[in-house]
Amino acid sequence: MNLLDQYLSEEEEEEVKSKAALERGIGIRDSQPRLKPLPDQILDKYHISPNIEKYSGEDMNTIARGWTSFAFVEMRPSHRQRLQIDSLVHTVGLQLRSEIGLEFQPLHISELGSPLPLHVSLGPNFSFQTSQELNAFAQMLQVETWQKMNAPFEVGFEPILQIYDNVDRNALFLALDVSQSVKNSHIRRLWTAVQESLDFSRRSDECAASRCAWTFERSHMSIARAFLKPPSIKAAGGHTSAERTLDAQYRRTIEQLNMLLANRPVDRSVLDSLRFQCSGIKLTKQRSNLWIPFGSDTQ
Amino acid sequence: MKPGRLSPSVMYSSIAQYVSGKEELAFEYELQYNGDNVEVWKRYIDYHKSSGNHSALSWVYERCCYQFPDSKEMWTEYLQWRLTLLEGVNPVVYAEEFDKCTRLFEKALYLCHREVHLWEMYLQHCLVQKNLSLIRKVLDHSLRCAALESHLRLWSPVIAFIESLLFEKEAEIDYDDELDLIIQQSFPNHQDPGKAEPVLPDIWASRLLGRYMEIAEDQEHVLFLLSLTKDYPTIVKIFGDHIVAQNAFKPTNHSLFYFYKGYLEALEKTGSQRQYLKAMEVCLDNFPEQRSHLVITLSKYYLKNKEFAQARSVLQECLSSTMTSEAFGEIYDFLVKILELYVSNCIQEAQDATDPDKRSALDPVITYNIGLLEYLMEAHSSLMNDLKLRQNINNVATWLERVSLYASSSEKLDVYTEAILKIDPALVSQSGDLGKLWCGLAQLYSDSNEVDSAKETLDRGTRVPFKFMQDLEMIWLKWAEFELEQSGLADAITILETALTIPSSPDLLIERYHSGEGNIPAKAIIFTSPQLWSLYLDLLEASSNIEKVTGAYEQLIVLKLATPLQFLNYVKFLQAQERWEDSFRVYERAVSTFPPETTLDLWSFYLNDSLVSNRQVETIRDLFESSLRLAREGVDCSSFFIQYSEFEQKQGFFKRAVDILARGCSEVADESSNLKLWGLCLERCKTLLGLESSRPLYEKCIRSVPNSKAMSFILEFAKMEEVIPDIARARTVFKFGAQLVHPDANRGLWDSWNDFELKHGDKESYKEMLRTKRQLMDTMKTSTEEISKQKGNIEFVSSKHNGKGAGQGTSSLELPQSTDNPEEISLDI
Repeated sequence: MNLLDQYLSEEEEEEVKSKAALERGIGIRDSQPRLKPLPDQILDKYHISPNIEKYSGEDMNTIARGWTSFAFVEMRPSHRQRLQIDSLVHTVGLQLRSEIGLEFQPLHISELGSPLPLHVSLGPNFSFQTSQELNAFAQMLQVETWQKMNAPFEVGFEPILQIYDNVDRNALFLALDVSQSVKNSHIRRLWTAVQESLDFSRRSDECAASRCAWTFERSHMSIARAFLKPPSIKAAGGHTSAERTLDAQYRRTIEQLNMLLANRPVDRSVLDSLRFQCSGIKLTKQRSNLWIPFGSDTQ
Repeated sequence: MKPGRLSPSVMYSSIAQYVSGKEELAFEYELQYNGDNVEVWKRYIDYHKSSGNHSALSWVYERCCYQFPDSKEMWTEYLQWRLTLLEGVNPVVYAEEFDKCTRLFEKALYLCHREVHLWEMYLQHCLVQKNLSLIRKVLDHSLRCAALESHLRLWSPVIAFIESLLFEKEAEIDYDDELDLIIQQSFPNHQDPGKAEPVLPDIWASRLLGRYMEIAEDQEHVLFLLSLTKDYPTIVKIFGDHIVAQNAFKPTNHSLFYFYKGYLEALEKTGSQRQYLKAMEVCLDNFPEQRSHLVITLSKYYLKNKEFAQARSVLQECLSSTMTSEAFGEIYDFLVKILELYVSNCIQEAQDATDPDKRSALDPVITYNIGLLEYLMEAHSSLMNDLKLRQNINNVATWLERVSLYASSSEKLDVYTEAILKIDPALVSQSGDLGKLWCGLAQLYSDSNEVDSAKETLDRGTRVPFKFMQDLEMIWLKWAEFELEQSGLADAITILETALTIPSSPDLLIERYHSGEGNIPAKAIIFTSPQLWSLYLDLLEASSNIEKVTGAYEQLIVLKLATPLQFLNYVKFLQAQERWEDSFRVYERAVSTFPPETTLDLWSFYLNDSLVSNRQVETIRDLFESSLRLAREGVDCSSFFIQYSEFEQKQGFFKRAVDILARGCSEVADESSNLKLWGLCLERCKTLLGLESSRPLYEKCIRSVPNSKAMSFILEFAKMEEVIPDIARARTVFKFGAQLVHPDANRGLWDSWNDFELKHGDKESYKEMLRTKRQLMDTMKTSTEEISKQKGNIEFVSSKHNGKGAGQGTSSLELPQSTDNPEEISLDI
């Protein structure tokens, strides 16, 4: 047998080497230096696809002009983190599917299989009437962030998964709440920076209601999404009795799901592996992301 | 005694010398009584002029001038005469004569000091002698004496003289900078025993020019001359005052840069470094097109000041900011040259040095400069690429070229990243290049097994607002191929389905994209990409999902994107599913979709498939009839006539088979196809319907085909009549054919006729044949046929109206003169 081992074919030798490398926990291609991942700047420059729908209208001149923006803390999961999230979504998804028949799909990967960054929102979508307002907002947010945040911080999560819905009520999101300590300190400061910048830049206050509805206490990172089948209730409260019944039912479902999830805490090691360092925030501006770094103690 | 008057002793000795004849004595006596009469003096002068005695004439002139001391005319005449005597005379050899003349001028101008013309003559006299101090003295004196408005007249000859002097000197100066010498000078302890002699400044000229500058109208010329004097302090002062300090100086004959260059040169020689650098800065700002030249000048300045590092530094800095390849070439060449010279000088110095400390001090200098030299040599392509990018940062081809300059993947990645971040997709002018760049980056990740990054790249690539569809198409194709390789068919199909998602108003989007002049991103029309559809259909067919394949083909047809080939593929796909009737319906849609010339092949496949599948006879007839409409559209569908005829023949309808071919002969316009059809038609007619049935077809054929092509049919026709046998008709056919072409060009017919007559004719008919031939030889003197057949010529035919014309009324068949061109001109030749 030993003699046979000495006279392996080329393919067998290669296989043995591969196995040995795997056993040592080293990839075959580890001998050659890995390439850097696609730089954040590229991801930010082409963050949003061109909106073709706006050219499909009968009269392009009648399209409502407006500028929207969105502030968030971005997490770009590593390969390992993606595997952790996959595993988490898969485990929890199985339970939820059996309970309510919803199919949760992870958000860190696109429908076409490309990795996607995740985020912790710092507010709802902000809309501005003019581009000048948006520019002023961006500038002020940079100043505010610089002043209020003078060092990077680590984002951690609560061990309980939460279910959130969206404004259109056509999807449910499986999310990890940001840990209380981070929420009450760093996220709160960032949230204040965003609010103050908004107050400075926006002349009209048409979205004040939606702004008030959102608070830093709800800070979370959605990791999976499930689309709801119609009928769903668009408005917060229905006018007819049937709508009211549907609304109550909808609320109850979410509460039930959250209670279900509360009984199944996420493993501490998984939470630790999902922690990430935050050294700035991002702001969407005209289909790109603007990177706003924190200030520095040294300066 | 008045100043200048001749003394009595001189006077009397001269009388003895110059008054010897009676005439002279008579003039002298007359002057004794009438000495104030200028006419007497003039006659006396004229007398001496005619005698040719210059000394005597001079004596009389001088006496006359003293007699009329303030007569400028007399002085002028006298001095002009004196100057003519000095014309062409060497002022050095005959200095005494020139001095005499000078003294005379002094005398004259003492008496007539306001006479400008006399001053001009005097200056001219001085200039001829090139006596610089005298010139300056006389000029000063003249300027003091003459009125201000005459000053320019006085300056003018002097400036012309200065100009000639400076040009002469300029031609002698060798301006070639010996770079090697400059480099040697740049060494701190350099001592050059053989240093070239400096160019001496022309202070005399510069001072005069400086003064002239105050009144000169053409200041540009004065400044130009001043720059030639090399009197640098004066140049610095005057150029500083008139050019640099005042921005109003606008030269016309020389460039403004020329003067600034002169100013810099003057500052280099005399000014402080601060002054020089300030002036250089002004030049760099004012003359960006001269940047390379100025930087080289600055570099030389530093070299001359023993500041080699600074000289090298300015060149390196400029090399990375030049905007033209010409400037880049100049700077690059100069930098390489000075580095080479410097290194070789350093090596030489190190070899010559006896002190080991000095030698070791030179080592790092040599190493650094050799390293830089090597870098410049190796990085030339890269530096050129930098230049191209400075010229147009959105030129994607240059970025792609840059990627190819680097060997390692990480370096390539850096270039890709930089390119994507710097390129503005809206300003890219070449279609396909930007897509290639993104695909290149994805491929780089793919080659490094970074699958996630490759997908991420492709995903981001699809979000770019490309101007051209080819770019986006390229990325989607790449992604589909990548998924096909990595994950398999299903994922690749999903990618393409996403790419080809049809928007809500496809036609509107297409129209807006094409009228939007690049303002609407290509994503709007990506669903129209033929390449994506093609790959999508291929993958779907490979997946064997019949429903999806059918749906995709239908969608393609609805969007009016299907090509003839895709229609055929669809047909073949349906036929493979044994859905023959569906496939025929697709054929119907295909032939109604495309223009006639495109549908020929589609019809061909359609007819063949219909024949193969044994459809009903009437259906096939209808199809043939539909396909034959192409002939009316000018499409050569002769093969369909033949196929149709064969089909009818198989059905047992022989007459119909021949009629279809005859119809083809009249409908198909293409000459070669038409002849082929006639051949086939006559052949089939003879075979299927009998020889005699072919007579009307032969007649029709000979009437319709061109004369040049009709002969073979005529010979066949005659042969057929001979076989029947109808000898008279055969002879008539020969006779008819003979009249179409000149006998010399129709040997085939005449030989056949000859054989025919020998076989079937008699003496009389043979003679008649020969007579006809002779007659035709005489009447058809020129064979116009060949000429008329040439391109662009009008085809000539025998007149139909000529009763005596060949063939007229001779044929019992009453075959008309053949012509295939109704527009042909009839001529009586």
